[in-house]
Amino acid sequence: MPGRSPEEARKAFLQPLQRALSCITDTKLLVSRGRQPGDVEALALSEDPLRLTSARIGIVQFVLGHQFKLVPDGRKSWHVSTTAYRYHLLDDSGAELIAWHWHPGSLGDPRLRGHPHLHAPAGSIDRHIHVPTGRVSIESVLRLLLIDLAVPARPAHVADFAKVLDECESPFIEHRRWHAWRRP
Amino acid sequence: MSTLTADGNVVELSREEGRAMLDERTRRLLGMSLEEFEAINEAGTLPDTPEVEHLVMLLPFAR
Repeated sequence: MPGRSPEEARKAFLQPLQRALSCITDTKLLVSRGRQPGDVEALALSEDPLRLTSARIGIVQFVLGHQFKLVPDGRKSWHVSTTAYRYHLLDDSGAELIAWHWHPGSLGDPRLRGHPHLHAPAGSIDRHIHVPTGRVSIESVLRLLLIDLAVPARPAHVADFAKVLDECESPFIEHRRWHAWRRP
Repeated sequence: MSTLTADGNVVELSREEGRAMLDERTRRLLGMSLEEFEAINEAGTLPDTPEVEHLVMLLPFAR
């Protein structure tokens, strides 16, 4: 999301995210502060994990992990660049149901470095198996919670949450620099 | 702690506030202080668990 200054780019990134989250929770979005533009910053939820009730599967807990940095586009423009994400859904006991990851800088099998993936333990597939995905947005995880898992929307967004999520995700889709893995 | 949006729902934490938040989470999830967590992470001996993965993602709050 571009802006004419680091602050403007930061707000253009954070405001749609918070609006999307407001469809499902009133928990606050916490953000760290780098010492200077370009430092890696992080997002977190004030309620962690965020405990929700699904009409389909009962309690489901959402864990948000997201890192980003501000990148100059030239002398008069900045944008936010995601540097890693880990979005987890847990059951009532804390067991992992599904997790979407992209963490190109962390250790692991170097042949998988930079590939977005998900972990979805099922049967003989354990949580260490990397199931390939494209890049996943926070809004798309919220959409899954609200629609497929039938987590109730907050009263103010019962009628419009799908529209709000589409609107909030739109700038991300428009300005993202990548969607699937590319050779570096 | 400063709010970045008019509704007060995006909150920027200072380094001290971020360390306090993360210390609460390392104690709750792993039973160790943030300082212990940072030392073990630095040594590269943390276990590969969802809780650890999540807390590592939050480390910019402590820097």
